[in-house]
Amino acid sequence: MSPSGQNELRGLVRAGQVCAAITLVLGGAGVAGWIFDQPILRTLWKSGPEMKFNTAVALALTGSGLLLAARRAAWARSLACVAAVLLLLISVPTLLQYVLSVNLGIDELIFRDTNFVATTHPGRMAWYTASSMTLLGAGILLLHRKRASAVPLTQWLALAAGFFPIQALIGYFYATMAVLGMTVQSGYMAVPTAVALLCAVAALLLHAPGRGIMATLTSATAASVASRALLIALIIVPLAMGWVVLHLVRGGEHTIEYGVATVALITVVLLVTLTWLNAFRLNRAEEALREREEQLRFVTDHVPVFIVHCDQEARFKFVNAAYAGRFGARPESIVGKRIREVVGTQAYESFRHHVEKALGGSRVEFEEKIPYEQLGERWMHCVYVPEKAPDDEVIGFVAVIHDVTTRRAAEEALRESEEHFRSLAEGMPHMVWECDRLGAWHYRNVAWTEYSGAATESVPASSWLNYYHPDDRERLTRTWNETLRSQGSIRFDVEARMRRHDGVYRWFRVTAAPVRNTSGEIIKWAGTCTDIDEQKHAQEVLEHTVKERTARLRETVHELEAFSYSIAHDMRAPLRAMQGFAAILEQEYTSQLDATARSYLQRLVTASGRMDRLIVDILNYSKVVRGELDLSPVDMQKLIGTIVESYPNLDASRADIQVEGTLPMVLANEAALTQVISNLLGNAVKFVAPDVRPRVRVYAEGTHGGGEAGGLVTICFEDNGIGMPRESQKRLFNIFTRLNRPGLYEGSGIGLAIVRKAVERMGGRVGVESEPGQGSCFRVELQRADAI
Amino acid sequence: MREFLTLLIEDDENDIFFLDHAMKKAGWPGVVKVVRDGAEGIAYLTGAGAFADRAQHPLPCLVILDLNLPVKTGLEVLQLFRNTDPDNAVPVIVLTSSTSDIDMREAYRFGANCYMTKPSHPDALLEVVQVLKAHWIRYNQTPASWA
Repeated sequence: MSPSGQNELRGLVRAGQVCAAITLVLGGAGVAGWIFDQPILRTLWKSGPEMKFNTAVALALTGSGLLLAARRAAWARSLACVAAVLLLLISVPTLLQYVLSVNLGIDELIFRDTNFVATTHPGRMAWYTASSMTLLGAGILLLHRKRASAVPLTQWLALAAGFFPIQALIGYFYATMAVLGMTVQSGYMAVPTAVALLCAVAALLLHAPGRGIMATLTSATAASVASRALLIALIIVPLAMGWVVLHLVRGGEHTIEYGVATVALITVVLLVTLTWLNAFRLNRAEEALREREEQLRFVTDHVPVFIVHCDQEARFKFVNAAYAGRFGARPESIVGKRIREVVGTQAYESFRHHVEKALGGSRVEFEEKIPYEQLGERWMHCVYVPEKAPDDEVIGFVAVIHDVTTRRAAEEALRESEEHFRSLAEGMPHMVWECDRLGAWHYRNVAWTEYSGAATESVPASSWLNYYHPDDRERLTRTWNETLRSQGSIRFDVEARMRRHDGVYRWFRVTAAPVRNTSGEIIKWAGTCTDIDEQKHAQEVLEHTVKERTARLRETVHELEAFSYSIAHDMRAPLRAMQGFAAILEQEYTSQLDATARSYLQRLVTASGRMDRLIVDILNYSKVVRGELDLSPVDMQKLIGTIVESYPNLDASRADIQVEGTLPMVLANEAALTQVISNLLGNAVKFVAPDVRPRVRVYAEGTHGGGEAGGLVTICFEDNGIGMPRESQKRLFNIFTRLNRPGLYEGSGIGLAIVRKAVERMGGRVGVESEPGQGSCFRVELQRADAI
Repeated sequence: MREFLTLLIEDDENDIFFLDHAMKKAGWPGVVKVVRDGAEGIAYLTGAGAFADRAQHPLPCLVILDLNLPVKTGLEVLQLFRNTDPDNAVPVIVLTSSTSDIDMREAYRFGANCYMTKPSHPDALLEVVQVLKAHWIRYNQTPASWA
């Protein structure tokens, strides 16, 4: 039932209580009228029959009985029963007096009825009143019964009791008391009595408006709504029509036939109209209802759960298709059956106590293994929600049931897997541990316990860090937090010292990996600690040895370099002496030498000169190879200008050296770059055919890797020299490589080796393109220092 | 005005000969005194030991210093000389066969006024001596109090 429907029913219950209160008030007024001798309180009318004293008392008992029965407390319900019994003690003997034509002396037991009218028995309540009271008394008594069948019975009794006051009121309405055999012998019902009885009847009917025969009228269904409207019309129309007939005939202007015919016509028109309107509304409502039912059925039949609705006697009122399908049946074949009949006795007995608890008014949720006859043992998760009437009476329950056998099996498999893991972990020599997804420890294997000396239970979940060396904790924490934050994408693999039970620290490799569920979410972390103490010490010894040997090797290399430098350097001193003395001989004593001696002297000068160049070149090469080359921005344009000016062989009188365009700033070591450029330009002007004036073009060829600082730039040195064959170009930059016959072009064969080594050490490259007789183009690629 | 005194600190007899030969050819003025190892050079420059008498061994007007010297190296001589008397601005010309960057850097750091490598050919050496003469003797100006 919808909440609004529940509210309406509560409103009806409250209205019933108001009616009971009216009955009590009218009965009380009657009693007061007798005690204080106030006839107006007994008649509530100018004339006519009075409410008898017994009637007034009985009405007061009826009203209070009904009010008490509406309360939940047990004492109130008991008092309601007492009131009903007292009521019956008045009404039943009175009836007996009429039936047996005896006077038991109860009519004027308290007060004498001196002003009696329309009765042959002073002080006695009317026969009809007593009958109505008896029915009401029985009805109130039945309210105490909890059986479901008690409610409709009470309501039938109330309807029967209502007949007599209606009869009396119709009599008063048409000013004739001879309605259905009312006579002075039977006594007449007073107006307040009839009203009070009608209120009592209404109160009894509205005690449980949502149940029994009242449910037909009070439910929110379209039929009930239509019935309520029709009922009001059916009460009002005949009464009104009767009044119309009387009015027409009493004036004397119309015959009785005319009056009856008119009333019949109006009644037919009204009833046909009402019936048609009701049919129209019912049809519309039924269509909407059918649509809603289909929707509901669709939903309940397609949800992956079993939905069941049972009454208070554990009979199915509704089951969805899924539930019926489990038992190989259709829902309609299960509805109406008891749960036991469908699921089997053994299964029902296993969860009967839960059903009883739900019918006792409690919500029940359980997950148990149920032994079905047809399906075998299944794990079921059930939620039972009791269904209550507006008066909180439990009238059934709704159950939502899941078959969780598969999940249970998976959990069981997981448990077995966990156990397998545990037994494996316990047998391992490595330490194995687990923590939850946030890092709280919850498992350590026996290897861990033995090493640390701490019993597993005595170790708090957050204390893992305390077992590591204080110097390693910050690193461990940092890496662990990074691993947690990265959801495991940063691997936790740390070397740290761990304290043994005797206080000795040993090195361990600590690793952890996330354990994920099927959705990929991390559910926990599994980790290991592997003892690497011995490897660590061996590694330390090895590292120390390597460091020591490297230092020794470096020292040796340094010594060797210094030695070779020193040899080359020291060789120059005697050579310089030879050159010097030879030159002095040549210049100052040439007149004393003959031609052969001069020729030998000339050879001595040439050879020593070549030797000197060779040594100078070797020293330069050695400097480029072993010296430190700090790089800084160098203005290429300016540098080339300076070199051309300071080297006599590059002088304009001997060669045309043209710098085309603007050369960029490059990142280089100025001394090394000077060596490179002077060597290249020197070669360019040297290796030319006889009688050819050397011509060199220097230009920047463009940039690679963008025009920004850090990109590369190529400087080209293009000459008109003798060129070289392609096959020679590969070894051109090797040390001591000379492509020409000795004597043709002087050189040590080191110059281009210096160029290559220096350019490479400055982060660049050097290459050549050349054809014999076509000149050469040397390309030097260097890092650019400025933006374009 | 006293005689222009050049102190040559050089151990190689051949180099002494060539330099002397070139100086004569270039018309180098004054007197050239020669000391043949680093320790002697320091002693002369600081007026110590046998060179304590400044009347007999006056402070030179120019020093020509080799780096590769016995007993004490040329760099040690330079460093000690400049540290002993920082106000003394006697020009020190380093004339050496070393082309090492480190030697150059150190020499300038310790207060050398010029660094030149020994040329191989007597003609080139003559050119160097002529340049030195022109620069340090003819054109370079020093306060009168130094004379």
